[in-house]
Amino acid sequence: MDAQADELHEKSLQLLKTTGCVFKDERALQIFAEAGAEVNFSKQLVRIPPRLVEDALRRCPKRVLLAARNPKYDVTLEEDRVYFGTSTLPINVLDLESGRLRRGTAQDCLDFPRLVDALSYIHFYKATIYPSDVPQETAVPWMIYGGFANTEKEVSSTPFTIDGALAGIRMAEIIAGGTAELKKRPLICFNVLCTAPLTWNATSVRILIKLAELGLPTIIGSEPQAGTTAPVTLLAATLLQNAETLAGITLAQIANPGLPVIMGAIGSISDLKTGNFCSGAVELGLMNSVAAQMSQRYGIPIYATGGMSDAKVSDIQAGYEKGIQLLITALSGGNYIHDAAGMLDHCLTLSYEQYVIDNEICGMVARALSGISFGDEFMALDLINHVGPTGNFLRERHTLQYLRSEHFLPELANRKARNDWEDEGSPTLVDRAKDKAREILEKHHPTPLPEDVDQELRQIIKRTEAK
Amino acid sequence: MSDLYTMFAEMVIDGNVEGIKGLTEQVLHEGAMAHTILEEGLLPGMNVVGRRFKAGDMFIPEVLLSASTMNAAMELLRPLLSASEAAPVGTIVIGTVEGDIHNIGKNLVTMLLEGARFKVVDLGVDIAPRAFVEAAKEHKPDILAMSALLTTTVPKMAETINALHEAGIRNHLKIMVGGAPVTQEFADKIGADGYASNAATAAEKARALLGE
Repeated sequence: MDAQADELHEKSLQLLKTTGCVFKDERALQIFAEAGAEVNFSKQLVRIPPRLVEDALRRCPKRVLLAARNPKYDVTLEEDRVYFGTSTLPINVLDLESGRLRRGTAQDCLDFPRLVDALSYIHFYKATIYPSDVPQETAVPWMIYGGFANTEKEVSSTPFTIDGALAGIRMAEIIAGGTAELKKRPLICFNVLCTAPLTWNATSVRILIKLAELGLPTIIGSEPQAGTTAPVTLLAATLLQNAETLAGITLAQIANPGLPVIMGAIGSISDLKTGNFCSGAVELGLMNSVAAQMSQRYGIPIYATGGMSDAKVSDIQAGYEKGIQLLITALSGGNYIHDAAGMLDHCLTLSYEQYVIDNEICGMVARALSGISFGDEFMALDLINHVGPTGNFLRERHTLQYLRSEHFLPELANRKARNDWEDEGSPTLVDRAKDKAREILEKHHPTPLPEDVDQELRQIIKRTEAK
Repeated sequence: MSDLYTMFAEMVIDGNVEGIKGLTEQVLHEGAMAHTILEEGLLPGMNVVGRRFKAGDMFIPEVLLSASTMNAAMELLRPLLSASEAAPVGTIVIGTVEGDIHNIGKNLVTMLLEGARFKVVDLGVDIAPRAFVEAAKEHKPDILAMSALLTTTVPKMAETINALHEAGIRNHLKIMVGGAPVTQEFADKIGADGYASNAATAAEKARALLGE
């Protein structure tokens, strides 16, 4: 296993040294050139010497703190500690009442985080629905504002533009109480991605450099698709994903040595019948598994991916694709597992009920991760001897004491006898998830931001519009 | 003789590039007509490929191999065909709109359109409305096709259509749009002539727009 990880690493270095990586930004090319890389400015191609990559890896902190408005929700990324969270990509919503597909709105930007705030197995909120009913320049600020205002959990986002990133950072600074405070407790985190194969586009690079300069934790990753933007074999796709990520991390570390970075793995397969990105593929879990192993080899936290489905509605396909994929990624020790809740249909669509369902999937997977506890109390040998043959354990204090921690207690999965289920009206899982979502939306209110802070954040949205 | 043309069709379906070169040379040498090989051998083969692809029974790499196979035969036939027989069925200018760097979908559609014997001018990604207009003036395409993957960039499609109107050439061509956030409803709203939600249908729609 180690020998294979070593070889994947060596081949990544070789790829970056011989074929190189395109960076479509003058400044990035200069940064690389000054550091000793071989740069072809007209082709925007950088051939990176292995020692630059190794230096960069050594400089990456092993532990990265992503702070939450409420410190009890702080996310500490290290080793194989696992967190589950949401995703920034969807543009559509399956309306909770009508079930029809519609575009996302600013109201969804406020409602989704409030829902997530109440779901205990979802640990972080990646700003998640793109609002179509506001001026486009304000869309990202709306998404991030919704996260800060309506959940106390840790907030991150895809920036889409430099202005989007800066607006989010400004909001985070206001909540933190200043630039220095934000650096100590980074309340926002952004991801930048390579465009496979081996091409870092202008916007991503500029945002990467900006984030590096500001010293904020930065997710640097790639999302190759086996069969289209990467070779069809999973190993080669993982190699590209790794190399592209290393190239971005190297740039970041040259720009700001010691920058907290999180390496990102979002690669999957293309469906070779349609060319579509397969978000729900089991292969994504496998590629993530290898990426997690590499992250542990490098000692850098990983922005992992799992729990997605290409189903168009919350159906059986959604169940098994999400369950299987998330389990693989989580058991591999993916640290910051995004995309784990809410999404359907090639990352395009969210539904309120899917969040509730995915919360339960995350709960089951979390239970799988925690394994079987060992020790005398858990062996309960004395208890077994005491109860003896032909006894039962229902009345034992030990049972009551450990029942909640030893058994995962699902809210949605129905474990009643058929008769009892029929008496209840034969409710489906989706019905119950919708009811739960409605209940949360009606009753759950996270601690609001202080009024003046909330006003300032809304001002930032307005100022983005004026631009 | 019909068995012979079935062999051409089968080679196209199977993606037998080497085999079809040999067969084409042999059959031409024996006196067969180039246009008959095209009409009764190659095109029926590609039609089967098209049907199977749309039904989800063939993979894209297989379809591309079939297209390469047909091309290999066409290389040998082209000098012997009349100008109209050898010509592409139409010209398409395609690009991803301004601000958007996504290109797989566009590339896939391009490859399949070429397989369907269109001449395709691929402008690339991040193409501003005026660049589309310039390309339309230069290449005089039958169809101008736009792709976008981001909701932020989808509005550029309407802008491009406006730019074509202002340049006075909107009605000289047909407009097709596509990409994950694009819908039939949106395409209708901006006045596009065609929309396809997958690459297989795109080639079909393109032909339909040309009245094929």
